[in-house]
Amino acid sequence: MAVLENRNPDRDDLLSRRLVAALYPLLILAVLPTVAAWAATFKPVQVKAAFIYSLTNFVHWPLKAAKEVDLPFVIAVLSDEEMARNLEIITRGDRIQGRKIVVRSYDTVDEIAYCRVLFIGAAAKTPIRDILKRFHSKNILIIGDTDHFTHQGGMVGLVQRGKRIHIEVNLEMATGAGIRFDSKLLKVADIVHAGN
Amino acid sequence: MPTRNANRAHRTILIWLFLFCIMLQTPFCLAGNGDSTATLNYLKQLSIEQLAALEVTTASKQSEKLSDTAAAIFVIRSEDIHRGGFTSIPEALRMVPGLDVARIDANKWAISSRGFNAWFANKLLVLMDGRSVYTPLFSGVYWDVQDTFMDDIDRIEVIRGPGATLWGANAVNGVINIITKKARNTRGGLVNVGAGSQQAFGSARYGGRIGKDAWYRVYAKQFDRHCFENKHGENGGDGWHGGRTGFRADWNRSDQTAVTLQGDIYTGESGTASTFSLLDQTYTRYDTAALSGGNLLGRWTQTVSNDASFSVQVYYDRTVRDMQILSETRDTVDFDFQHTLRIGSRNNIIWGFGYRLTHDNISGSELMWFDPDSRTDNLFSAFIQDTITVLPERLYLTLGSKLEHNDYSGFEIQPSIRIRFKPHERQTLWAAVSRAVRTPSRADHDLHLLIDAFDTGATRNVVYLQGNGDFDSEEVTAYELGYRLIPWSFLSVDLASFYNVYHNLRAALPATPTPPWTTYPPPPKRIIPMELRNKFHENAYGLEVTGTLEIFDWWKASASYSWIQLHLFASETENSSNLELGEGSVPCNQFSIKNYFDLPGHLQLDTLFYYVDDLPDLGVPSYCRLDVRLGWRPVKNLELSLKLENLLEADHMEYSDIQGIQAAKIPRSIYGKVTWRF
Repeated sequence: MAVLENRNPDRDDLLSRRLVAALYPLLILAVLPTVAAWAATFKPVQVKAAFIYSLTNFVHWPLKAAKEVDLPFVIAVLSDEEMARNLEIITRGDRIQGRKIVVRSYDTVDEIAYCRVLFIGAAAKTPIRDILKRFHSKNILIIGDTDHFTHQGGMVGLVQRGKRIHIEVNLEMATGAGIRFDSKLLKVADIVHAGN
Repeated sequence: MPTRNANRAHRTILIWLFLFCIMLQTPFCLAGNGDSTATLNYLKQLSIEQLAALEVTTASKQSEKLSDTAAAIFVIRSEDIHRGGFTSIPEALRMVPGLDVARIDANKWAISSRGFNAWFANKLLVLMDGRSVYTPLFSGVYWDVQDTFMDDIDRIEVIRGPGATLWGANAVNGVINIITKKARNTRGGLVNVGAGSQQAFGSARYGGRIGKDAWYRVYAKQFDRHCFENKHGENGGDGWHGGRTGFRADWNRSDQTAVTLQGDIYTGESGTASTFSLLDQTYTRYDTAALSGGNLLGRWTQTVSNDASFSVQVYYDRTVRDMQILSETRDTVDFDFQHTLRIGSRNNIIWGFGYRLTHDNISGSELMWFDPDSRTDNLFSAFIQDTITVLPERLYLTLGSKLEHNDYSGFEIQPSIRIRFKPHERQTLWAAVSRAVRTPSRADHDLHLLIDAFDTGATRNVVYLQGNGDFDSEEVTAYELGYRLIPWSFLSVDLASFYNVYHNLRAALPATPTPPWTTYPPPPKRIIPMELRNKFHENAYGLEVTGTLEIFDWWKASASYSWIQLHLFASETENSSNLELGEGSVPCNQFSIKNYFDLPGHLQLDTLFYYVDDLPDLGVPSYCRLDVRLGWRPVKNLELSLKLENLLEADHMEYSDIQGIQAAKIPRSIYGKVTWRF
């Protein structure tokens, strides 16, 4: 207490004013990133959409598929509107191998026609095995985000473990469909050995 | 001192300036982050390694995984409704473990969870797309007007145990939340036509797109259900027919903004046979209720950022039930606001407030009337709930409370504490303690009901039951413990147990009789009143287990078992008639097995088996019930199905005559249905 009383209030005031004046811009700058950092976590669906987009750069489709140069590059999404919307935004105005990217959203398997990438949403009603059987011979990269997707025979699984999204790859299934992955992708991915 | 004051003032200004700047910045930060185009454009530049290192948020309240809920929850999915071939919502509810569904007659069901089951069961909250459908008249649900286009139901979430903190009063023993599909998911046409031994029905829906971001659907349905027989083999007078039409439109202006507008109107008639005795004579009375009503609901949901969203909901609802004994017209307007936000990495908060206004006009009869005959009531409510991540991926704590003010019992606080522990990815252990109240209904306060009349000498005695303006809320404190286990991906087990302590349960007690007075014409009359009071206490405990097995794609099976014990006791020994149904009026043991088979040739075979224990106090013996459905899709757009109900017996009783309502025998029945999609 004694120490406090001995201090010069005017000097104290002046000091605090100067200090605040000097610190205020810093304070604002400091607050901004804090707020931003607090908010800067991403929705799983956004990160998964980004994964799907960048995966296309590390996947080699068989020659037959590459001949479809004048067709758009179709990414089909089954039973996941949110994913379709996010993919639509992320691919807007982009091209893959010179082909225009088109995202199409479907509610049932029966509606799906031609596509190069198929994302199977968790809400899909048809069992995954049935969907895989149906599209296996058509050189389609089949991606899913359910827990045991690759174990069930899916080619690429985007699985959330803790706070991160992991890529799982089932090489046997992909090879069977004539699809090859770049080694860069395989470095990041977990390889799953499970046939059908 | 002046300098010190100036200093303080200066500091205050600075603090305000500082806060103001934060306020200015926050919307920019949130808006910037909420804009998913910017977020996605940022994400697409990242390398695959960078993406793999990113942290993502986990689900919000709506998308919370079933296995991650610290409550006894069961979800009936649209597949279950389809495979069960249900033509009404109450019949679908039978499959919920621990829920007691007893059909009283062709158009009435007694549905409750964890005890207290009757047609006037009053401890359950039922919502359809966010619209509360229990009637404030007696706090129960008229199931004969709760309907929609069955194929458009997305899911029915059933929570056993108190859900009052989030959902509000009346969620004492459970919440039933009926949720229809988004209009986007019901595109195209669907027509159902069916007929059988007990019913004939037809319904149609068409959904489409308006512009780029909006979807709509409209539906209409009509049905006619035949009378059952009462226990003497006579016509039960309980026929039921009706029609309804409705729509839903969803507009997703962007990823962040969603607007829904939906509504229904309906009309119908349902019959009731009631028994009452006057002057040593027993009368049976047939009364037909003319039913009509409608509702309109609007909801606006706005995502502010990845961590925050809010929704505003407004609805208007009108119900008219016109019977000889009692006619009721009720108008309700409801407003709700809800805000979900994440603070830091550990706190997930949901809070909101609401207001409901309900106005009724009741015209009674010489047997039953309400005083006053018209009333307007207000309900104010607010709630907050915080889910705290104590240990990420392991331990969560949920604290919350609802605060309500109603015109009958004033302020009510309904807090809860829930804890969820995941020792392993495939195991969840949860526990909860919560308090909930059943606020007084209009009947508890204002009912007048003629129970009996008898002559003693020259005097006629008239026994009345009357409501009590001092009737207070019934309360429960519930202790719950649950465990979920997924030992293999094809098997899951869900176990829930509870111990409930109820206070202030309703009873009818004698009040002071009036002296006989001379009336003209004679005889002189004496009124013997009974009044409603909070008197009983009860302890209830029980266990519910469900196992689901999906070994093969072509076979899904699940079994469930529930066990309940009730002990009802009065606070004082006094002559009273118990209006709450005690230990002998709930099935002690219930058991069910559900099987869905996908057979070759586009055939589906589905079986639902139920065992329900006896109700000794009501004189209802135990029964087994087997319902079988056979479905065939010869071509993609066409489905033919056949449903057989009560295959095991010609008929059985599921309930008995209480509170004057005659129960009917539930007969074996069959119907066929054609479904065409286009």
